[in-house]
Amino acid sequence: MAKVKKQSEQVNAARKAKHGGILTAAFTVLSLAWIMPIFVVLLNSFKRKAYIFKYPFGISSKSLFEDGFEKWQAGIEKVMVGLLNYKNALEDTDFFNCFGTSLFITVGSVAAIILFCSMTAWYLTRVHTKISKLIYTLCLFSMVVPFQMVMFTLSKFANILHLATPWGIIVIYLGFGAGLAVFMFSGFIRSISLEIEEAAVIDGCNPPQTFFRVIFPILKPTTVTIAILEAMWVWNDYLLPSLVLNVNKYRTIPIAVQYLKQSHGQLDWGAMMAVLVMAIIPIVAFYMACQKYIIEGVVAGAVKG
Amino acid sequence: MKKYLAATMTAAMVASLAVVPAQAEETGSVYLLNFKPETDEAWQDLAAVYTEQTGVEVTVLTAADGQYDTTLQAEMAKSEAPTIFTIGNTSDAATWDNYTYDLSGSALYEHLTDTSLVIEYNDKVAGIANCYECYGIIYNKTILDVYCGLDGAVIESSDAIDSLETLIAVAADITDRLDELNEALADAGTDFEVAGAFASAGLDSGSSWRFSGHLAGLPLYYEFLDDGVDLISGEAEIDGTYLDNFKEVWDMYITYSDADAATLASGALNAETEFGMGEAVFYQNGDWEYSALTNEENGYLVTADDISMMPIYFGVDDENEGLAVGTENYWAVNSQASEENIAATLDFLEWVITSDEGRDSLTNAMGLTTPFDTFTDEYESSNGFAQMVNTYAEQGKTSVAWSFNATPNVDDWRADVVSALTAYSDGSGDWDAVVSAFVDGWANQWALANEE
Amino acid sequence: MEKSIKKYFPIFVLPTLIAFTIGFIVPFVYGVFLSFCKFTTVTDWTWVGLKNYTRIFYVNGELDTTFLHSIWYTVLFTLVSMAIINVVAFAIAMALTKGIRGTTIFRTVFFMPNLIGGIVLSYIWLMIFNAVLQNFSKTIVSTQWYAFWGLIIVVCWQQIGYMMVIYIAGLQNVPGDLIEAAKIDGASGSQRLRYVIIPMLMPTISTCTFLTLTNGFKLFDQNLALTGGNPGKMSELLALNIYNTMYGTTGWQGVGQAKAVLFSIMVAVIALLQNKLTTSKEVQA
Repeated sequence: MAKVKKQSEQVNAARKAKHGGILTAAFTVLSLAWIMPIFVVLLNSFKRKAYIFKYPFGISSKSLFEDGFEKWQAGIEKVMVGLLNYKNALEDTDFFNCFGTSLFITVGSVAAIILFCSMTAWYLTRVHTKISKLIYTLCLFSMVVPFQMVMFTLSKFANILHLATPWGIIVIYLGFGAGLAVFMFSGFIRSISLEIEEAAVIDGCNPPQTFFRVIFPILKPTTVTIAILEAMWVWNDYLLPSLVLNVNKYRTIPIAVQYLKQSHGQLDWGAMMAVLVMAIIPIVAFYMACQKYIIEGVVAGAVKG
Repeated sequence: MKKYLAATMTAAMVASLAVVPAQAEETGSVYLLNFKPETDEAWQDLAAVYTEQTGVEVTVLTAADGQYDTTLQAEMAKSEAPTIFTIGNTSDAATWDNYTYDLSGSALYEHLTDTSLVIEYNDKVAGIANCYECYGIIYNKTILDVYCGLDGAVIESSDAIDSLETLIAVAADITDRLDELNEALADAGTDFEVAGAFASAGLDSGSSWRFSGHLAGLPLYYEFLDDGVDLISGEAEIDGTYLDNFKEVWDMYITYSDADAATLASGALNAETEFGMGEAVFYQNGDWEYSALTNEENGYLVTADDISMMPIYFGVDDENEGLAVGTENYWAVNSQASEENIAATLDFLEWVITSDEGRDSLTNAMGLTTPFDTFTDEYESSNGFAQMVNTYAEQGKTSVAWSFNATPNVDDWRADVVSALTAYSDGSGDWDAVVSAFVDGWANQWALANEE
Repeated sequence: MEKSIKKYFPIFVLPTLIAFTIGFIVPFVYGVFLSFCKFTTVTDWTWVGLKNYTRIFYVNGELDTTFLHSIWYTVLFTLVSMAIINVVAFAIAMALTKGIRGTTIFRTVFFMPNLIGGIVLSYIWLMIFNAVLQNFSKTIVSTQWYAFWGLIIVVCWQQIGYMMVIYIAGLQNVPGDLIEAAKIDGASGSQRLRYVIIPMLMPTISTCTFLTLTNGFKLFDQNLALTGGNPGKMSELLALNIYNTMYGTTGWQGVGQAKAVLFSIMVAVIALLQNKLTTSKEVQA
């Protein structure tokens, strides 16, 4: 078997050499186009407010071809403001505090969602009762309800239960994020062969042991995928924390961004772009770190074929 | 786990019965839900000072821009509800009618310099202005002076613009002679390069309120004046008597401007930048623009010396018309708060407008222009545009009230007017549709807002 | 075995269920109740029966079609975005599991649009659209169709990477042996795709179509920031329509709430049909 695989890999490698170059080139072009809007954010985070709207895509107030190099260079100095926007952003938003709050809420919520929802999903998939069915259906249903429908009642209810802290909001995120996580975990668990679990039971495992020693490790690729999706949602969510949290004490990054806006539509666009750049760096790093696990995490043979 | 479950169950029952637990407190506390994000820090500081001096607890929460309604609605339902909140217009006063305390006997009301700066609704003083703002046509004096120096200029000095007719003539002439003007500007040693007389009249959501709100305030004002109704409470039906003037002004804005009239709703236009970079001579907006235009970090070419403001001459009573003065910020006190909290709140508000710390904070830290007689001498506003209000008043001109505060169902009514204006401007609709959105829309929304 | 697991309900299900009750069930039930009330805040309501529901369609005694327009516009939007996102995300996922050079970077790049919130990215796209459209004297809100395709582009750009991640995870689970076997049997590339990969991937496909479906129906931020519902409410998707009802008209929070109830029921029915359709095609090997 292993030998066959090796051979076919060699064949694949040969094919890759033939088509890979073209694909890589095509994807390089596509990627550049894809990332362009984000690049615009980065570029504008170094510009003076006055020029962000005037030259959203340029770096100088003068044209290199029409006005010559010197004027063009002087134009750059006029437009670009260096790190001023970053300095203002750090000061105006108390960035590091917000960053800490966002990080705490995101890590806490995602950990809670992964742990509890994978357990729930396994139970709901394996135990076929009316209650299981009802809970699963409700989870699906929660995904289609628009947030506007529950936002005021949720905020009131959270207030009664004193959930206006980063700890409390984790409970709400667990409840609100349960739909997606249970749905996706269940989908994957359905494809896991029952034989593995039965083998564990024969070895003397009780259900919690079976779950944590056997099932949970198999779920790794799904877990990482769900962790990424839920982390992004929590990290970028604005409305829910703004309605639930005591924003005088705890501000997440999206809340801080919103507070850069002033009345009559006044807004320091430069500072806003700078905050955004600083806010996406950690999550890109997180994604890149996780990516490895999606690819490596597949346990060969564990999945029913 | 059991404890949680019990708590959840109890809470669920409480929530579904919607019982507000009664608050029994010995000394009251104050909770201000602030409207202007830029004043948050100053309010927090001021609250701390008050607590230090009196021991009364003051909480200040500021809603993010565009989120005030959402925040207010959420906070009002909480057990610790705001005791002071902001209402912006009559429509808000109607929504929050059950929550507004009659302020007619308050110290705030006594100290008002102009008792028209209140919102009266349902026979009570529902809100009192905590600041007032002005809007008009911001103009670049430096450019206008250079223009006046051109041969055959329509006017001899910038002061000579004193009517809509003159303004249109000047704007038309500037548009015809852009190259000549720009040469003269270069000769005069300025960096300004004019692209159009008026800054773009953007009809996107970030700018359209300048027209569906502020500019629309003028025809409403003159009509309410004719009909003898309250200038900011308005009336159920309007005739649109002065909509021809509205059209004349609007046509001026879009004709004598560099912006393509077909793309006004795009959201890509930024009038502040155009004016700040000296590409436009005129720009309809208010005194809140002053700090943005003069803040050096923004990199604008105009300086405080270049800019000034004139009334939006409307061709009705130009001789006597001053700047449009009013506010969308009225303090309301929560009538459903406990008696102690209401008393503490009224004391706090009095302290804010009478104490040195309060006056200093409002004027200098928050940059507000306040309508109270306690703000004299060093507590007068340093905002260059706000100072123009008095300049015009001293010339015997009457300030225009913010009559658009009477608009029923503000967002809906404005959305319809803006969409008709957009269609008119890009040529796909006619002016009658604007008139209809304005007049019929008003009656419809009024009926809707007041139906039972 | 089922029986032995069943006892562990308090450990496996209860924590999630409690949080779910707090975060969703109670607020939702209360929300449904409020759709029959006129209210200013959630604790200050008066019962008005079905009045809110009739007001959705009859305003001042006249038939109001804004909500109906919003429904079909949203349905069309959802179908188109769902189709494009899934096809493109699947294609990219296929290409990026072949091990070509730069795979890691490409995967990151495609995923990045998700990392910034919807509102700000919409502003950036607005700048880009305007830079192009102004050459033709048009704007993104010139007609409802410009708005439509503008929204489609932004949403596809944001969600393709998201779905790509799920498709990649799914593709990793398709056993290589099976594909090898098909190859040895002489199946061509398209045959392998049609008869091996897609059937094996059906659970992933139902997940992704369900997610794009609900995302499409619930789209709000991008709609608000990119078109604001213009021109004249013609590009108002349902979530924005509900939001505007709540704040645009004095005393109409209840009507907005009633619209949200109808909306939830409608999406639930559609999602149910979709789920039936795709799960019936899942292989039960």
